Amino acid sequence: MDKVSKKTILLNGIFKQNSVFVLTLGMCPTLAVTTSLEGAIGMGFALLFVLIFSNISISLVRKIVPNEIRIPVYIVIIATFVTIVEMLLNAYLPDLYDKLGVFVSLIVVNCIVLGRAEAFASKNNPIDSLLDAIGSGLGFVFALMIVATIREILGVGTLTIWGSIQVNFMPIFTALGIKPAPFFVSNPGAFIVLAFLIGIFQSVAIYRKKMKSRKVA
Amino acid sequence: MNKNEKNMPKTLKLSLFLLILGMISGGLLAVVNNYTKDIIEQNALNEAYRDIIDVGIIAESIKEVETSKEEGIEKIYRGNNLDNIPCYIFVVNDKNAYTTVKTIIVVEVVSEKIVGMKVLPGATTHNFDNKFVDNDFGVVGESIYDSSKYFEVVTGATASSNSVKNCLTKVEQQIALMGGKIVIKSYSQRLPEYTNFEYVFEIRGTKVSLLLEYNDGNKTFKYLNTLNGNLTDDEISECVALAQSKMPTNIIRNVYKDSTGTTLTLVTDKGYMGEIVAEAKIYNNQIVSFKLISSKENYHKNPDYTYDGNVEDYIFEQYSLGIKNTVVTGATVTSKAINYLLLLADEYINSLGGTK
Repeated sequence: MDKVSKKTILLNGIFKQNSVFVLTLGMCPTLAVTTSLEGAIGMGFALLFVLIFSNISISLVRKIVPNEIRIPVYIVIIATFVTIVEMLLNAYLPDLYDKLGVFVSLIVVNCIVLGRAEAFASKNNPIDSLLDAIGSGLGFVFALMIVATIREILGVGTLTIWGSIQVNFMPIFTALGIKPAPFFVSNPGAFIVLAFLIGIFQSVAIYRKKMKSRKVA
Repeated sequence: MNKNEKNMPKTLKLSLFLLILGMISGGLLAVVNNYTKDIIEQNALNEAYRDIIDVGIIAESIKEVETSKEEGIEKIYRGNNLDNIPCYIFVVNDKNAYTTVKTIIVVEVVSEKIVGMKVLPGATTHNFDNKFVDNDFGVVGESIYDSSKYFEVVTGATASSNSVKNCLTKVEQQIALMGGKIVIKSYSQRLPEYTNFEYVFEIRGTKVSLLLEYNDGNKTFKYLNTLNGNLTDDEISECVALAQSKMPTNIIRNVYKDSTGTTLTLVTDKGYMGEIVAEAKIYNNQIVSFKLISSKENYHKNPDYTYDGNVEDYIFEQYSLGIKNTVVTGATVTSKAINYLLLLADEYINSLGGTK
């Protein structure tokens, strides 16, 4: 495949086929761990790690996996890498591991991972599968970061970037004469923020499509 | 397709494939587990023992002690502190009218001195939460048996403070329950009959009298006699050695009586710069004068010290007005040491009834 195609594979996952805002996959962790930016970054990169290694592995064995057992094979491979991520988080980032809780294990059944395995890695070479994994994974990371940033700032008034690195937005709230709304860190708030972002994303995509078709015309 | 492949059932082929994949997966997980297992175990240990580590105990040395427990004692651990001295760690609770206060108390095994204390946050009464952080209540460094004598109540949080004090009492009772080869249960200076410093130690019901010899700041215990029961020579030696580790920090060095009253020479190790020697004159069951006769305290150099005069004069003035345990800003440690000396003089008065 030529260079442009490889670039397309990479960028597709981030924008055109963003797993959260376009394909609406992986909703469970998106809503659950985005109460803080730190959790969003942790979950995003955990999934990225699993995506990369599972895509490469599945692509390498794609020609020898019997068709009848391809899904169990994918799940075994994905589960292996999820367990590795769990062990590494538990050992080296125990606070983050406690924060993410059961959602790390749930990466196994995350539609994004299985979806990319079935839709791309099982049909393409390892290099392209790697690029697809990076694109989809980074798209997921950015989506989670955007949702978490909005929810945490509006809901708590601070932004926890990592550990004790925190940005305080309370002076801005005080200057505007308003207070943060805890609603945004609750479950309904998560749905509403996500809905707005999906709406904005889709609107931009439709607008760009229109502009492109006018240019062609 | 050859004959072999036709004969091999398809399900067997599929199962074999999954089995091999499972084995490779298992092998990979075993390798990663090998690297992370110890770190995960250590993290879990640190998390479980976080509060105990906070009071200066080495995590790897912590072991739970299984023994019968007094009421309120939740857990007992044994571990080494940062100086590698073995300590008992007690997790103890006390319920008051408002809440339950939970405390971690660390006591050195041999000396039975309190070397660490932490009130766990959460269920404490109003006004208490901000004041117990890093607060040793005046008892760290003292014998567990003297804890109630030196305990400092937190102003505005009496109920919770008393609960902490009760926790210390429970630990004292637990230590007595746990016993040991020789356990010193209590000791007191025999006042007022002796002008030299005879201390009585009670070891499992047997009272032993030891003389405290004081020479230019060096204090040693010498065996005098056993007041009840019998002890072997080895037990007496062990008792003296154990008493040596429980050296009192505040003593009455001299008692002088004349027609004007009784003059006590009081000594404490608890000054900021070391030893402080003071003289207290007692007349009609009251301390009528108090002055320092030897001290290296340098509170005057502290920029926070704003009182224009000697701190002991101010504290004694407050004491005479009935206000005890006064602390002067910029001379906190010196203030506490002076309060200990006044407390000792009070004890003398209480034991004797004073002198004319």
